[in-house]
Amino acid sequence: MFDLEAAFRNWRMRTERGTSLSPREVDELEDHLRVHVDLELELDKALTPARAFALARSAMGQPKTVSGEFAKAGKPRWRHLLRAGGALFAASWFLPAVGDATAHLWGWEAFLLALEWGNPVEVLGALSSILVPLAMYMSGRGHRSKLRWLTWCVTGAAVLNLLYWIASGGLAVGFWAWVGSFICTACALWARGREWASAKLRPSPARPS
Amino acid sequence: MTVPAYRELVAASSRPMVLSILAGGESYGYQMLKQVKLLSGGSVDWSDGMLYPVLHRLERDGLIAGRWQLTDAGRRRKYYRLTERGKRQLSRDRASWRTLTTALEAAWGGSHV
Repeated sequence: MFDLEAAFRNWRMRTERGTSLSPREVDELEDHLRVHVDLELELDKALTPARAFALARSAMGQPKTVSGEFAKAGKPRWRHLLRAGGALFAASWFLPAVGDATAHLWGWEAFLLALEWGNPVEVLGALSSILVPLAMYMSGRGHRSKLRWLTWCVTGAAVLNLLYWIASGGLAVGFWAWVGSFICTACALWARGREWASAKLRPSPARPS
Repeated sequence: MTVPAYRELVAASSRPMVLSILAGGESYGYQMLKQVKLLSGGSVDWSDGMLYPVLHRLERDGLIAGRWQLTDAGRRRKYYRLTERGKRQLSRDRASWRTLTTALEAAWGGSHV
């Protein structure tokens, strides 16, 4: 026996997992699919729900194709911020992080030094570097609650690293690129969170559906 | 017999088409698709998946604004409306398209080519 609700749930699950569409975008496509199915069933009483669903799904097209159309229409701002964060993070490893023109430590050297010889705060600061690539990996995937945690972690790491290391002085461009990567990533995750946030709903005025 | 419009022309006219429809009042995706089909006598048939990226681009550009509402059936639906910026863009688009169609009509000498 065909279960229409299960078919919608299955379509939604596959679309969320198989594309880079945000849940809000999938919400809108799902509503479209549902309206189409309702209309098909209303217009043709002999039509089975399975056939109506197949017709609506076929008219919508492959989720990957639709996702590609969204990508062509432009990426949301948070993706640009995330990329900027990733670029700053990568650059920070190969730029002087501490010192001056005559004597300095490259970013990767400062990282290893902090891990090996640093106090607990410095070790934690160095370990927090993992958050930026982790955010880049997770932001495109639909782990909503994990992303919320990550947003707070990256924001906290950005603030702590900035405050702690500024006090120690002698910082070079690599450090600023490193902290900048946290700030960009945190901003991207907050912007991403706004996409997830529940929209304010209000009852619709009477209108044909 | 109606002739299907070329894909490039359909894509180029998507912005003024959406803005013109929303100038008539708030609407949502499926309703807009049906309206496009109706207005064109069936010769312009947007694919379902094509409309939403266009709507999101127009929203990002500030030409239209969307808001989620609950339908009578308790479903979430996104309605779009024209913004002030969208109204200004629509009048510019309308002027451009009129210029083009006037030029084409003149080139065809008023005959149905």
